Amino acid sequence: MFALGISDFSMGEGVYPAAQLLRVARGLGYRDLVCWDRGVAGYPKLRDTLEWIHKSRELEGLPPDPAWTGFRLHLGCRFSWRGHGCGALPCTDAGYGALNRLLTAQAHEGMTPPIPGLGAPEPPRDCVLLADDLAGLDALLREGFEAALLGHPRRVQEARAALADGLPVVAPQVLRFRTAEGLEMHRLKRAIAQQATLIRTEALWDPSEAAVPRHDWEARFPFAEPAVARATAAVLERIAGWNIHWGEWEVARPFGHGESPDDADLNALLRQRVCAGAKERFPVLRGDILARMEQELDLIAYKGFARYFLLVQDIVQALKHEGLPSRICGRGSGAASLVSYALHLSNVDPVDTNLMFERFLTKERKDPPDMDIDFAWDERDRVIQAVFNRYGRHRVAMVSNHAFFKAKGALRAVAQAHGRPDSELKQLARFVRGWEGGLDRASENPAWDAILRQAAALRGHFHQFSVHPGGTIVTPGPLWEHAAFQPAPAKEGVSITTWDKDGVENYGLVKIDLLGNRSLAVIRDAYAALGDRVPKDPGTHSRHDADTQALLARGDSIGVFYVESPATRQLQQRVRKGDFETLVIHSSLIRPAAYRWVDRYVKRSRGEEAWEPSDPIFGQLLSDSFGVLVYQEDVIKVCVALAGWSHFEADQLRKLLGKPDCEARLPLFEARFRRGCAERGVRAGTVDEAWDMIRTFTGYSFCKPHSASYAQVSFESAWIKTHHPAVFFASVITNQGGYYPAIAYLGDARRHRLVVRGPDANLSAWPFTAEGEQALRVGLMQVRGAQEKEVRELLEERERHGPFDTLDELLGRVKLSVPTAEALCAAGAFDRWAPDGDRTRLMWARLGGVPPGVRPCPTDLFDRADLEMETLALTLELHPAALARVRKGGGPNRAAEVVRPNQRLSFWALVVADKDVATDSPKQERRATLPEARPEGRGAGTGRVTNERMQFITFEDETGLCEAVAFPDAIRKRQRPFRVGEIVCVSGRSTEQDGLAVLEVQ
Amino acid sequence: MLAMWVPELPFQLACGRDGGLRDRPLAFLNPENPRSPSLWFVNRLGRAEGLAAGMPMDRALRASPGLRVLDPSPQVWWEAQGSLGDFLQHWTPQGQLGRLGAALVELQGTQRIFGPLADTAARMGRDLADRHGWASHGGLSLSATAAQIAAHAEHRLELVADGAEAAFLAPQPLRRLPDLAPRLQDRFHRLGMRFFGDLQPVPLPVLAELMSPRLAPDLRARVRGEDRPRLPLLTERPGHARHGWRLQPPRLPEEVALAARCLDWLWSDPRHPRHLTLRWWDVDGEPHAWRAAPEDLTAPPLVLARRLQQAFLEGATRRLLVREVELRLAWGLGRARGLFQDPLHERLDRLEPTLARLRHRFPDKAVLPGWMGQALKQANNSLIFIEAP
Repeated sequence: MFALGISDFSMGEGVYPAAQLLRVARGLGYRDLVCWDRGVAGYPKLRDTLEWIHKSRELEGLPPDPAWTGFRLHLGCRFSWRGHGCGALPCTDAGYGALNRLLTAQAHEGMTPPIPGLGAPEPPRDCVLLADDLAGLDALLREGFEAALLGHPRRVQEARAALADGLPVVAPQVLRFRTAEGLEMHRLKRAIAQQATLIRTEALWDPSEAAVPRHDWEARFPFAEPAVARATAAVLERIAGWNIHWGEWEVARPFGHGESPDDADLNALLRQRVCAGAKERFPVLRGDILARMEQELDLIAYKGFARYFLLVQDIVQALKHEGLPSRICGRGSGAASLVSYALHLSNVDPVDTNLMFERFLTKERKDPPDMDIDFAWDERDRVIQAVFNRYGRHRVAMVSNHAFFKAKGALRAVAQAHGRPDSELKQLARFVRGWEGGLDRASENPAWDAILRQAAALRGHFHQFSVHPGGTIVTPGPLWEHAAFQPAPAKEGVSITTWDKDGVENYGLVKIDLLGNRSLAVIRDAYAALGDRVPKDPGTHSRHDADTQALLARGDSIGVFYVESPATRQLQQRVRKGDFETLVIHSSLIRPAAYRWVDRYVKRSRGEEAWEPSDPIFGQLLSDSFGVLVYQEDVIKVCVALAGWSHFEADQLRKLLGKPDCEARLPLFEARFRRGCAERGVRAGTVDEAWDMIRTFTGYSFCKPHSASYAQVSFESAWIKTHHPAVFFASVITNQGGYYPAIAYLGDARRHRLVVRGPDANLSAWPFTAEGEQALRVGLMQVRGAQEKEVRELLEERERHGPFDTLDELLGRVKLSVPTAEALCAAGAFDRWAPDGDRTRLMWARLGGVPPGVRPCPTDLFDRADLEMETLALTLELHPAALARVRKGGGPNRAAEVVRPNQRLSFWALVVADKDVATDSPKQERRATLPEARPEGRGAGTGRVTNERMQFITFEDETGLCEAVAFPDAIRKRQRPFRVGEIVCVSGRSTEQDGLAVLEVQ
Repeated sequence: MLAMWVPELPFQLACGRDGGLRDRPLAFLNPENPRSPSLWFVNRLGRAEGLAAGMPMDRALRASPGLRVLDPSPQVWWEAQGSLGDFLQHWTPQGQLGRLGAALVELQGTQRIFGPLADTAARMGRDLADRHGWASHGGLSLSATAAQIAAHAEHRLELVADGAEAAFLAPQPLRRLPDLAPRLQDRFHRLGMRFFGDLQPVPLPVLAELMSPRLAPDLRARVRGEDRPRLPLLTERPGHARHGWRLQPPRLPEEVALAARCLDWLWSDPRHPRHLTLRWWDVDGEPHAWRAAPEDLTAPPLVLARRLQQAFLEGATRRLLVREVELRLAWGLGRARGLFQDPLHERLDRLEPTLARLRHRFPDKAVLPGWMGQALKQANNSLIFIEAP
């Protein structure tokens, strides 16, 4: 017989995460479990967990676990209908579609405009319908639905009455909770969901509804009644006869190509477009290119994936007539495909760059791969909306994210349910760093015992839905035939699936990631300003431009996409190479999974450490990166070459390495890896070295196509900076993109010998603009306190009737409010009418001039700097550090003096970048003075206490930038960390590490 | 109008208790952060030695070895503020206590009792030093703003002559104007107006454009020294009572037995309240208040206490613990009142301000309403009777 299991995906009710629910069901003696949540969001997780139970045995090389053999998972769901609690168990595809339709319709109820074809929420046909009570059963039967009463020993009278009336009654056990702690957890979850305190929250469930062993349940009424047992068995028989279509790829055909089961036409169309595109992309179609093209097209046809490529191309091209998208950047594993390169969906030649197509698609691959396309950040929302409009809201949805409780979130939720205040939470949050380690210190306060215990119990429980950054799916027919969807939180006109990325992929829905990227907007705006000064093929041109390479090699890349952080700039400086291949490696090496090997890589690349592969296989696989694992493909290559795995198997390990729970599952793969290597006779030392590298390659990492795509954007962006810095900085600041505040970019612009000109009512536009090649004009967008509407009216008036001759004329032609006039004046937008720089007099103009008898104090240089900081968050004539030095005194040195090692320095500076890390190892005291060498938790200030805060900071004054490190004792002494935007008098000792000057803050 | 300022009242109090603290840098320990001790208030001598509020105590002691760090006891300060109020009531019924150690009192009308105003002000300063040992500064002017700023000039007594208020204020920096909003101060600064004198000639319509038109006339009067505010009675204090209850540890609203506690408070003084306000603070310091409606105030105490509890539970809906509860009661002048309004009580209410002034002025005589007994009036001439208006 079967049980109905309620998991944590029943928000505000369920107490069991997937693995625990399965264990409970199995432990109580059941072999059939129906997912019985509100909605079907939790089904993929349950399914995945059950599959992993079998898979782990397989990885260990053990026979299937008899305890789990034959255990079956079925789909079902609870819902409310006309105020009655009901449930449905689909037994056909149509029933499944109808159930999804009901859930979707309920989620979108009252929404305008309605989703085409969705209709009103009605109970699904072709499902076994169960009603919680007699009233619900009565309502269902009256509407002509086939339904049964869900009996429970607690409602004996109801079941007896139904049986007496000849109504069907079934009695599968509902697994809600087992113990008093479970019921308490249920109350807690209700309190969290309702945003109430525990004391005010009543449980939905009764203590007598606790789950009992199967034989106990079946010995009690109503199940003990033969008619009920028979009816329950009949239900199981019905639902067991149907299986959800899981794992079959579902891709929509491109717009305008009607539905057809045969993709021959699309294969031919794709071949035709790829051939045409390849001719445009390659001046000469070499044999290796043609061979790879054939190989990819054959594989794509074999996997039925032609429709996906054409669909993505259709989405990109359909927007062209709207001027969208201006630029795209195909990235991720999809950029490894020659087909996508030929279709202009990616910008990096995969043959030339040696990108591995197997990372994207293989014959054995079961989960569908996806393509990531970046759009300019200000176009991305319109792009997504256009996809919804083109394919219809009934066929398109974004993918949801399932957020699970993390340590801090759980503590916050539980503490709020206990009525504890934010101030206590902040105090506690300082101690908590993840589930491990932090909670012990927090438990020093006995008042927190209960809260910590309950918060710890929430570990791994589902918390809430959010929206995936760009994942979008388009289905051939109505989406509810495959999955339920709901309105996206805080996104108008957008729906999301109830399944997350993994659920959607495992089902077979192929997603397209439509993402936003600020640097594409920077390049777009810069190219628009440059006009015909842009080379014909900017991508290739920039990659081979010697000046651009030199700029990157010296780490002068502030503002350049993806390589502007202090860590990357310093890596560039240490390696002293700026070619494309090196940048591809660096943009991947700087990610958390690979950074452990940075020092080794730097030494080997500079020839300071000889690299002799311990095994020739490493020489073949990892010679580009001097024996260091850099890309995700490197893991795949090593597994394939050493352990003889298929690409699909190796890809599963690669996927696992990026997940937070990989520690628990990794040993199973290790056993299999070692077994595979042993079978192929690989030396034990080689296996150890390889596995050691794989084991530490955990966390966020890049695949090579992704790095190459981004490196391409970096090069284009670096080319603009090299040859047209004024246009470059104007675009960067206008798009508010990057790692640093605007004032830091302007500082860098000045170091590139640009003149920064202030805002001007007659010359400034809304964005920042370049004035020739040597000057940059601050845009009026930067003026805080000025109302955008009024400023745009001013610009329109200037456009229509020409520039303003006097300030009085401006105020006559444009009606500015006092705050707007004041802000513009304070920012210096009217300075052209006050050659002496006295902005005070100008401010009185809006008030009709200086009244008789009033002698306002004129504005001087320092006042102007103050006003600019207030209204523009930057200064034009005087660096804020210089201003502070004059006002407050002290700080006799300058930031540029840090290049002289072993000096005690004290200077005023502006903090332009800060990065907090936690110390970890007492032994690595005072070694981590370079950001590259700062894996979370490396280096320590005192050498005694771990998990303390230390910082990497970038300071700036009028003489230049200075990288600095503040160890915990320095932060303790200062009592607070450094934060971007602060102007501080910093003291410390200059040091030199690896040829780089670093200030050690004291 | 006389502004009195007892500078650094908490430190003067401390020096009064312990003479050894005089003439040395002093500071109070920050009561909010006991884990890493830091300074809260620092006296002048301390500031002259480079100490500042918020400085860690270990660094402060290293920088100034003679520093004495005192344990703060705000209760004593509040009592001191109360003492200052009592002291001032002896001289005048009208006045207003400001920030710690600051007060503004109306001396006009006391000439017949105490003599010329300047002499009175000087005597007040001396008297305060004699009674409490507090050194104070005074500012005497018809304008409240001028008086306040004059008091801060730190002369024993600064006199601003009638008609010279504007001239006195003109060179003062605008930031000294009490209660000037920072946003407005910035705006004036940007317009080049940094002193009172800069703002004095600005016409009212221009000022109204720069700030809220409703507040512009008041600001103009203040910067010109033309403000003559009517000060409230200092004697209103006896008619108020506060019952505070700090909950240790903080509790959820349902766990606060407010009705019982409230009944105790109500029975502790048999007078019938005229105003009743319940205030409570969550653990994060968020204040909440509930004011009893007139019909609640006529209810018997038991009923009133229950209503209070009910209102508290309805209002305390934030998901936070309650840290502190306070009941504020206001009565008339000590008369017991019946449960229901009657014409007699209404007449009494109208008399109360006058009664308060007279009682204060003639502390040794019984001041009674005229209807309270003509017979008594004839029998005892020392009684003062007044009639309701």
